[in-house]
Amino acid sequence: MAQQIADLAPEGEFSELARPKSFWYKAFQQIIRNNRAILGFSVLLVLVLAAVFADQITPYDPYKVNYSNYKQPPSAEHFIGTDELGRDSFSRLIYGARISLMVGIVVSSISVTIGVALGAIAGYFGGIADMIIMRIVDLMQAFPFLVLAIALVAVFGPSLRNMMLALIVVYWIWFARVVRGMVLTLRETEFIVGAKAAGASDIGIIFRHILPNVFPVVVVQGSFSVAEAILIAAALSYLGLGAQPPTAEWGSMLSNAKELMRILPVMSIAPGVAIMVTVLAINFIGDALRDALDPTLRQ
Amino acid sequence: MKIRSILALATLVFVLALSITPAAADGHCPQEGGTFTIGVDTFLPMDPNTAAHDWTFYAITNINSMLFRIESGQPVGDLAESWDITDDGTVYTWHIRPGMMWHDGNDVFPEGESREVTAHDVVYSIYRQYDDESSIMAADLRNLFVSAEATDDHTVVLTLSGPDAIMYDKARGLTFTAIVAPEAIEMYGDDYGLNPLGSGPFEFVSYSPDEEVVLRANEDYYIDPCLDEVIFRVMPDVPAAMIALEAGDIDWWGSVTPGDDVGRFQDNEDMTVLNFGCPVATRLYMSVDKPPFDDVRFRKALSHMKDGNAINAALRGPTHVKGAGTAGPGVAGYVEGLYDEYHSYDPELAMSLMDEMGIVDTDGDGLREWDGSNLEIPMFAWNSDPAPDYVAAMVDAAAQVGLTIRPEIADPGTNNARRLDGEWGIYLGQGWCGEGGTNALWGRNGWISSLGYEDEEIFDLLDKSAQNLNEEEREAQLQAATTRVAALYFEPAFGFFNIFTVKNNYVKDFFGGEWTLNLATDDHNVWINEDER
Repeated sequence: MAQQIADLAPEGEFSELARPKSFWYKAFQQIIRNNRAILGFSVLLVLVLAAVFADQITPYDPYKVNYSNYKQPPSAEHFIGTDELGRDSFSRLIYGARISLMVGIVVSSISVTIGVALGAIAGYFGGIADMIIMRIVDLMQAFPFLVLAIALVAVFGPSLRNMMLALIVVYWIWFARVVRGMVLTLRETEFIVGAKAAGASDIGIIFRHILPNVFPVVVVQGSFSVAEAILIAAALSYLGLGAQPPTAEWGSMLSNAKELMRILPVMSIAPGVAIMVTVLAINFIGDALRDALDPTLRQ
Repeated sequence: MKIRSILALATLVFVLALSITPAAADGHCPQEGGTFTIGVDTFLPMDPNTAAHDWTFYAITNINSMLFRIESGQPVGDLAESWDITDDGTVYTWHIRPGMMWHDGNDVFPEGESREVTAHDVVYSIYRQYDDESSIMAADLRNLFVSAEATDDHTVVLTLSGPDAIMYDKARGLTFTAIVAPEAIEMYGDDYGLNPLGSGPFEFVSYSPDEEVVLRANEDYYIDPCLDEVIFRVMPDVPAAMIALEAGDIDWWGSVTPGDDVGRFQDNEDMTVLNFGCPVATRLYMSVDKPPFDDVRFRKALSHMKDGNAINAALRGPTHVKGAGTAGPGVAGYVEGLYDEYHSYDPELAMSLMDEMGIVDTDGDGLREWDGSNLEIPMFAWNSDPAPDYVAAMVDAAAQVGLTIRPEIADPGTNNARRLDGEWGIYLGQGWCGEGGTNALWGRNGWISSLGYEDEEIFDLLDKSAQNLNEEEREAQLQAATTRVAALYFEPAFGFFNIFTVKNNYVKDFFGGEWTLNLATDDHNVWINEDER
């Protein structure tokens, strides 16, 4: 264990043991040799480009209704048909990528920030801070997270912003618990004890020695949480608790399409496949990151 | 000799058996027994004071007796065997059917310990609604009500201050007044709706909110119901309900059938599509007592900025009917041409009206400002199809004229609370068909009075029509009221849609589903042909 932690120690500390460049270089090498990771990154790149350049690549305004052209089947003009208001479903699907990726990245980033900060404080300082933070975590973990998210959205009102807030509220606890556990182990290690003996401040130790060591695990968990957040956001929007009309979002598109499932099944299939492919791609990336960054799995 | 005696006795028993099962004997029940499963999208507690909800009344009108039932738009006897009305239409004398018993085998009346329903129970039920000002007692009856009196155990005299021309209309007059047992109200109080007790053809068995309601045949009813059991299954996921209907998991879909499914079921020879019989309008209400909605020009702008007819046609499919007002084509009070005159699509006119009001874009961002900031209007709608699509269509229409509409989609309860609080914004609404609906919506203390819809001229026209027994004059008064509503409020109309319900053809002798659901009456006794199922 000491050897593994030493492997992760940042440059400048215990330089004869730490090989940070070597660690990240080896991780990078391992990722680019992973076919699934390459596939995942490729798909994600396409999705990100589609989301960023949606204005340029969509054939129609995704919000423009056309009452003379509603519920049309797939055609050369409308690749996956039009919805109940005559809007081009393909254009809405592309714009949906923007919303879904934004939700996943924002929710995951903020949750990681909050969770890592509170987990580090709880684990490093212990005492009353640990007790308060962990009891909050315990309390929130007592609720099924989807039910908690639904309850929070119901209280604050359905909207994309409130849905993201609700997801952040339920997601940070994962990171807080994981990080606290790691910090509890790390703070007893020799290099931390040594840093303390050398007069390093608590904040300095946390930022210079502890966070770099938890970073790989957080990156892996964070990547999975992006996929998870996209899925849950789609589920909440499907239930009418997330993105509100006329926002093009995959979950709400699925919800709208359910009444047309018999006459226009492609309208259900397309956003469903989009969600599946996105989540799968991110999970491939997460798997590769875990294999490359988790010291216990590295080969 | 012994054999002859046995044969004679057997014959006698057979004849007696036939004589005591009249429904079977007169051919009403070719097959007895079975469960009739009804699918509905929502269901409320079954207190007739509070459940202003069509599908819930399907159950109430089978658990509770009413003084009369409505069949093909006409009143037929139920708890009242017959009734007389004085020439001036102000005194109704109801003759209560003798031998009607309250359901037994429950907490209120243990098995075999029930009692007869009397005129005093009827008077109690009427006053229970009248004394509770928040009850759903129809405004026409409440406004005209003078007294209800039991002159003996089987006679009720109802006195009105004037004739009630819509006494028998759906959701008007006494059609809401289910007869309840005072003992049950005393025992359950506010929870009566969860434990309803009546004297109708079916007894209440169980209620699992948002799941199902189970009723069983009342063996003591004066008609033997052919069915053993009736189940109301709550299915908010309508597409799933359509699949369940086709699979025979539900026998009748009693809520609104989506337009896309109507045509499909009409082509299915195993199904019958039934027209509810009264086209229902979809429209917008707004807080007309608050600016800028208090300015008729703004209401007019909202009405003209959207292509309501096209939106309704797209979202309602084959059930769409062009028009405006509360009464649709073929219903008393319908005004032809109302849509084109007051609600036609004219975004240029909408923009010029807002310009005239000073609601203009001054900072060049393409959005109109009012009172120093961009005008962003909340639009309240319920959270099931197709309401969110109407909201999306309005957001698009508003954007075309530089307005911003902010969707506020929530459950019906939240929307009702907003309406009652008179919250500022526009509200999506649907329902309230026909003459009764016109009164219930736009009349005195109407459903949207909390939003400021109060106009004495409209009230006066509706009050007069409700008391006018001359059909032609009443029609003219209703049309005048409807036209006044359009000209004054410009309530943005989308058009009407026909409500269709769908039943499997193995359900026999079924009579519609028009507010009251008549499963066992003198003329109809619903039964299931298990051979065809």
